[in-house]
Amino acid sequence: MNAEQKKELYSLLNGLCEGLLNEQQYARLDAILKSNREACEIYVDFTSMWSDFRYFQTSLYSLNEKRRLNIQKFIDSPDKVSDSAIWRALAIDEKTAPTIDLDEEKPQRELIRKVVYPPREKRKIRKHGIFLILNTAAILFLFVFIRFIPPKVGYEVATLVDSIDATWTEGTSSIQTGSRLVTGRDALTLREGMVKLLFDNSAKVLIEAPAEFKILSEGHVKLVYGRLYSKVPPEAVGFTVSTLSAEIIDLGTEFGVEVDYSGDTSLHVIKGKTSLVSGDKSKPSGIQVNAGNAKRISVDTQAVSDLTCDNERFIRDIDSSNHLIWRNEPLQWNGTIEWAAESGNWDNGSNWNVGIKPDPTWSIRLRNNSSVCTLNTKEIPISSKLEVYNGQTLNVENGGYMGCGWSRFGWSTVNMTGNGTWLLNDENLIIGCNNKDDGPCIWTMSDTSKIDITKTPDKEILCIAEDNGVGILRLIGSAVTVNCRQLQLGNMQKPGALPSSATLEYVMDSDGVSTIHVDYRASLSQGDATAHLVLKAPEVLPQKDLVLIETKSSEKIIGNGVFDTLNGGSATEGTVLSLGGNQYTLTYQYDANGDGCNNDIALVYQKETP
Amino acid sequence: MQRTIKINTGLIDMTRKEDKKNLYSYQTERGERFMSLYTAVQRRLYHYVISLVPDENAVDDIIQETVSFMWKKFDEFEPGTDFVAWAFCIAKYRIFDHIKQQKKKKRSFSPQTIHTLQEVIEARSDADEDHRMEALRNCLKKLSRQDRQLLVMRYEVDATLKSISQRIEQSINTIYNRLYRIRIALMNCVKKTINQDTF
Repeated sequence: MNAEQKKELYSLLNGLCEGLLNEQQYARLDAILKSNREACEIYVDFTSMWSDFRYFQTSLYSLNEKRRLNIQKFIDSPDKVSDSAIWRALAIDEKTAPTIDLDEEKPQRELIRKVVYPPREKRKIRKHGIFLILNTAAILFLFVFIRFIPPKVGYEVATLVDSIDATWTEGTSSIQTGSRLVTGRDALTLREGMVKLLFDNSAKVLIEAPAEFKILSEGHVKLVYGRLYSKVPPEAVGFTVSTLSAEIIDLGTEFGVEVDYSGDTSLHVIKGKTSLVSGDKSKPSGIQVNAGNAKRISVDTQAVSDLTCDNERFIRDIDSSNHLIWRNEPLQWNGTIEWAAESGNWDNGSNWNVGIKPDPTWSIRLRNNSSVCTLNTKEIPISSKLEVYNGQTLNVENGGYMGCGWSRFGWSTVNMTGNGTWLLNDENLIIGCNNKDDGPCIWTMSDTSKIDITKTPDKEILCIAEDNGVGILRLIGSAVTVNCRQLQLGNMQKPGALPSSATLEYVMDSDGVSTIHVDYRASLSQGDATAHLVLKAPEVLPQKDLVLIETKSSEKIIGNGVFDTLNGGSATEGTVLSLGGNQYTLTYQYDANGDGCNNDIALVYQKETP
Repeated sequence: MQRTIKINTGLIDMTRKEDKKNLYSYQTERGERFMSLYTAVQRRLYHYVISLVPDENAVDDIIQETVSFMWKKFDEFEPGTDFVAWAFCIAKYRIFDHIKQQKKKKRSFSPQTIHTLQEVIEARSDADEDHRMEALRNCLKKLSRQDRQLLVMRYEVDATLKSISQRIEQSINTIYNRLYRIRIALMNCVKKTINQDTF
């Protein structure tokens, strides 16, 4: 490049790093770089310097000094541009201003914990900028202002969005999830449990019983006693929690406040910063408390003392549908963990490829051909997903307890014995999927083993065979429990795929059969899929009707509505069957619980067979 | 507007001490391994991103997403292999996403330029970069105090051109040009230093 070209390039680069290039200039820069490797080298040299200045400035400017640059040193330059006081003012001004920007605009670099970064709120912050530059005087003004403006009573300002085991004192017992809360002079008393409130300004407040509090306004709560945790988004900055001895004004943050029985207030600031106003009412004083710090304010003396910030003292979030209580940051999905041993116990970390057993942050794969995993401990429920295939065996034995989200079983064997339990949590369990070419999933349950759901949104589906899959569920004896929201035997396959094939096998005993309980709806052989029923009775069966699948709702069986085969033969309504010394007819219109819905599947006892 | 915070982990009972202990002891060790690798490459990562997306407003977001993704996928990183290359590779996709979004604003480079720039950056070694940084340090010492002052204002204090110009009662243009001269001087100095050291 000649000098003229270089000059043009430098000029463009200077504009670029000041953010001042217009479209044409940008296009020109692109054209120069596109056609000239040397220009690219210069550009990269330039950006290297830019990046060092912008992001690693401390190390650059400190030069030989170990400490961060002291601006003062540059101010007493003999050839100063202007008055040194102005420089200093600028420095101080600018040094404080950007730290405010940093707080709201750049999400903290929390590598481990952040799940979803909140959207930038630049515009909104500007609107509330006044709160961000509060100095002590301003805080005191605000404090006084808040104190002497009587709260308006009876305005709806917040919603109770979630609660766990909440009990209120009499008179307020009508408060429940979804209730709108109004400002008032009367305190609300939460005797047991915990509640989550969402204020209309988006501040989120968790209150833990026992607690008594008043909602004074959209941005102001008075805590008489108890524990309160607040998450205040930028648009609600200024949110205030008052107690007997202090006033905590939020500056964009998360903090916990506790008033104990003596009336002392503790403040733990988890993120961001707050202003703490305390002291004699006629002469209040304010201090700023930043993340990681905690203070105690005595109700008697108003003295403020330091505490160790306790990150886990407060409940930060609840999720009643999952019975979740967070005392810390939600954790992030970690990736996939795989079973690595030939055989061994789930509980033993060395059997897994990363050297620890799975926790809820992992997705789990069991796929080692012919290896065996035994589960006989109660495991942390799995939140992500579990996949088992490639000939793996999983034994859920006595004491084994698996809480599971999305779980899919391809070619595999599962044996549940003793009181082994499989808990479906808001997700589906699929026995037999995508395995036409490999082998089936054979899932056997005996003794008092159990597949269960704990709650009843629509999602929990126990599906035997979907998407080319072959699944066999075998229930041995009459003491096995299978409860699900929906039962699908032979699910609709994906377009173009081979149809799935489901087999439900009952091995009955002298007490009868293990009935599958379906809360909502059963489906049999959807589309081209097939569903087969196998009934075996090694012992003499009782002389009574045997209910195979009981549907608690009035929903009709969907799909083809009938099994394709019963013990290899016909499985239509009224099919006659000799089994365990008795003769039965198969019906899809049984009424097991007297609900009059006639949608249960059963064997109707006819007579003893000689 | 209601802001929801997604809890994507579903079922953790953090009130169970045992669960928490297991989780954290592992996380901590994993975190330390990650941080030691990351701190060694972060300077190069920033350089990579700002070179391909020369927009200070976007760089932080891209780095943020990149690091978050690296952390998530950290178990897929094979120890002993090139962490810088891995980081660049992850950043690359974030950068492409960003460029795609920015296309309308016509403030991004063409694919061909991006490609060449990538080549240039990837061809440089850690040693090259360290060398360059050392040279830059020395060159900074040669600047007049006044010029260093201006750089400090611009970068360490993060003052805008406008606020600097107001405070020292000089036009924005004057400051802009002065920064331009300082940058060129530094570029030339760094180049000279490196060439001297090489031969």
